[in-house]
This record gives sequence, C-alpha cells and structure tokens, in this order.
Amino acid sequence: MATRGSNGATGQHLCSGEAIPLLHSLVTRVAEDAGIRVLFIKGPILAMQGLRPERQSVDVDVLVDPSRFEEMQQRLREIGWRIEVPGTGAHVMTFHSKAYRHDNWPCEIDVHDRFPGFFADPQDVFEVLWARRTTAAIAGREVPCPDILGNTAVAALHALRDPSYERSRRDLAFMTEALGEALDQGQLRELAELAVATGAADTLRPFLDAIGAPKLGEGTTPAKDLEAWQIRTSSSGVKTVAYLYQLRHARKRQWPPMLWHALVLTEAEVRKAQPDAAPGAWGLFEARVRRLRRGLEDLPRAARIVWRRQPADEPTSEGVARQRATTSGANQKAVRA
Amino acid sequence: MSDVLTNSVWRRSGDIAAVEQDDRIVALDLSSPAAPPVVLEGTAAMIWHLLAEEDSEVRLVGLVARAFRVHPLHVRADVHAFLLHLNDLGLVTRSGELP
Repeated sequence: MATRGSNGATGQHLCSGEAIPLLHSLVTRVAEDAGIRVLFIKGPILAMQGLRPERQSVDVDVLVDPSRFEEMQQRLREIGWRIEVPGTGAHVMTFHSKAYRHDNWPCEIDVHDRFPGFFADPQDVFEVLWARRTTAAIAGREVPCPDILGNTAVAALHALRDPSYERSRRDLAFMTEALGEALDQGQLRELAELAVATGAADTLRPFLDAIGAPKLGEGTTPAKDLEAWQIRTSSSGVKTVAYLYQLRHARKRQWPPMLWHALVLTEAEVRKAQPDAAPGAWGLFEARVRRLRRGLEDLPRAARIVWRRQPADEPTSEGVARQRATTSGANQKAVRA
Repeated sequence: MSDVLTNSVWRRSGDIAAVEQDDRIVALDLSSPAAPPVVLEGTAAMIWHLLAEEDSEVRLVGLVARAFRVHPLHVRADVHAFLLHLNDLGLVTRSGELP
C-alpha cells in the first residue's frame, strides 16, 4: 500500500510539486533541532505572498544565519545531503549559495549565507530580514520566511540580476503592478528603508522607482560592489565575464594558475555542464574543447562588458553617480518592459 | 492475527509533513529527517484520509470494507498490516484502545 521514497521498490518518483513543500518542512525541522535560524526565500512562498504568479519551483532556497552557515550544512550532510559538484569557477560577486542534493529527492536545496544585491554585511542583512520574519503554511507545517516587504526585496533583486531574461521582466512587472496598488506611502518608505539597511538602496533602485518608493540612501553602495553588480546584471549567460573580471582584479603573477583553471575547470563541473559528453579522457578533452570554443566566442562581448568600465577600487561620489546612472538606466528598461 | 480485532485507536503522528495531489499523498516523518518520504496511493491514501481524525481499527476496517463493498473479514488483515507498516514508518501512532 505504501512505498518508501522516491526510489522505492515500486519505482514511484516524487515530482517537484511534492518534494518542494516537503523539503521546506524538512529543512525547518533540521534547523529547529539545531537551533539555527533560517528563512525561506523565493519559491512557493512568493506566490503565497502575492509577489509572483503561481509556478512550479525547481529547488528550495533557504537563507541561513551566516554565523551558523557551516553548521547548517553539516546538519544536512549528516542526513545524506551532499554537494554533488563543488563549484570552482569564477564569479563576479561572492558566490551566495551551495547546492545540496540527495538520492531520495528530485530537487536541490540551495543553502544561502547571503543574497546577491544586498551589499551590507551578510549577518546584518540576515538580522534585518529576521527581524521582520513571518511564517507560511507549507505541507501542513509553518515555515519561517521574510515578510512581504523582505521577500519583495529578495525577489526584486533576483529578477534585477538577470534583467534581460523574459521571466525577470515578467516577475518585475507582476510585482510592480501588485505592490504599486497594495502598498501605502508608509510601507513604500519602509521598503526603501529596508533597502538602505541591507545595502540594496542602489541595486534595488530601478524597482523602488517603479513602485514609487521614496529615494533613500542613493549612492551609498561602495563603487566596487556597484561595479560588480553592474557587470553581473549586464552579462547574464556570458560566463567568460566572471573569469575576465577575476583576472582584472588579480595581480599579474596570479594570472597563470587562474587562466589554467579557467581553461580546464574540474572534470565534474565540465561533465555537469555537458552531460552528453562521452566517457573517458577523450570525451573529457572534447568537452573541454567545446567549452573553450564557446568561451572564445563570448570573449569579445565579455571584454567589452568588463573593460568598458573604469577600475573602481575606491568609492568616489563621481564614480558611484556615474555607475548608478548606468545601472539604473539599464535596469529601468527591464522594469518597464 | 491476534491483534487484528483489537480496539486499537490510531492517529496520524503529529510530527509529519504531507502533500496531496490527485489522490496521491506523500508524507514525511520529520522526527527522522534522514528517512525518505512515503508515497500513499489508492487504498493507502484512503486510509490516510480516514486518519484525519483518530479512529479505532475496528471502525477503519469497517469503513474500508464498505468502500470496497466487501465483508470486513476480507480486509481486516490488510488494514491491520498497513497500520502497523505506517506505525513502523513513523507516520501514525497507536494511542490506546477504545473502552
């Protein structure tokens, strides 16, 4: 009558629609048992809060108290969750999550200690979101999550990170319409203050402007952070950008190992990106050549994105103003599209 | 078989999460976070629904028999075995017997 698990004897499989809610409950329980604070971000809770249309999520995103981040991962590892392919590639911004998989489950848990676009200290960001937490009922259990304004900031940053994607445009348009009508002036100010407190006053600006939030904290993001955000948001899908950005900010003597790693990456990462690659050394070599060819094709565009901007190691008001104007301009198109 | 005709009262465990889609239920025992989820379909799902309220085994057997239009004697062993199985999986508890 009953079958154990997604890989049970009768071959029954869980679908994401079943696994995602259950995993929210599972992670909540693991965190509670360890006394670790967590908040579920994105995912089905956004639809419950009226921040995006109903659609099937593909993974679970949980923001963990940064001071307990390693411990939370350890707890997950103890019950069989593992990082299948450790990421070693370059990133424009500090990478924000680790993807855990489990043989019994069809989807990943993305364990975050930060969320891109919030440039305040990750612990401060977590405390701000935690202070305004609420709960959502999922799979018959209450799970912790940011309140509507907190999740609005998260969801808007998520969409603004890839403004050229059609889904990002749709999500931003949905939130703009929904919140433009729902939030009063006090709540709009509260959202703007949240953005300032989390270091997202500039990164969220296009969305805040679109919903009529007051202009608070403009130009407070360090120039280097804003530059990274600007490069990241204008290079969706162009992976070469991250390697060029890394090289640009490295000493020349660090270039050889960086370049070598950029060329070969790890076998696991190459095979994950190209699951059809033939087995064996020759198959791996072919996959690396294909990857390199694609990277070289992207190189001119990536170079334009990375080098067209001036170095911005030190925050200057002029630099911040210039980058803010560029970022706002680019993202504004996405919001209004 | 000596337990089959007991007046045991069964209820869902309080420490589970469950989702339901199209007459299919997937339940997870949160007290054993390493344990895989359990899929319940068909009669298993029906009994799970019946356990929304705690109930006696005798009554559960009667309800299942009525649903399938058979004599309770034909289903009591299966229902009993299934309840014990759910108990082993941590999804239900036996909370005593009706007076």
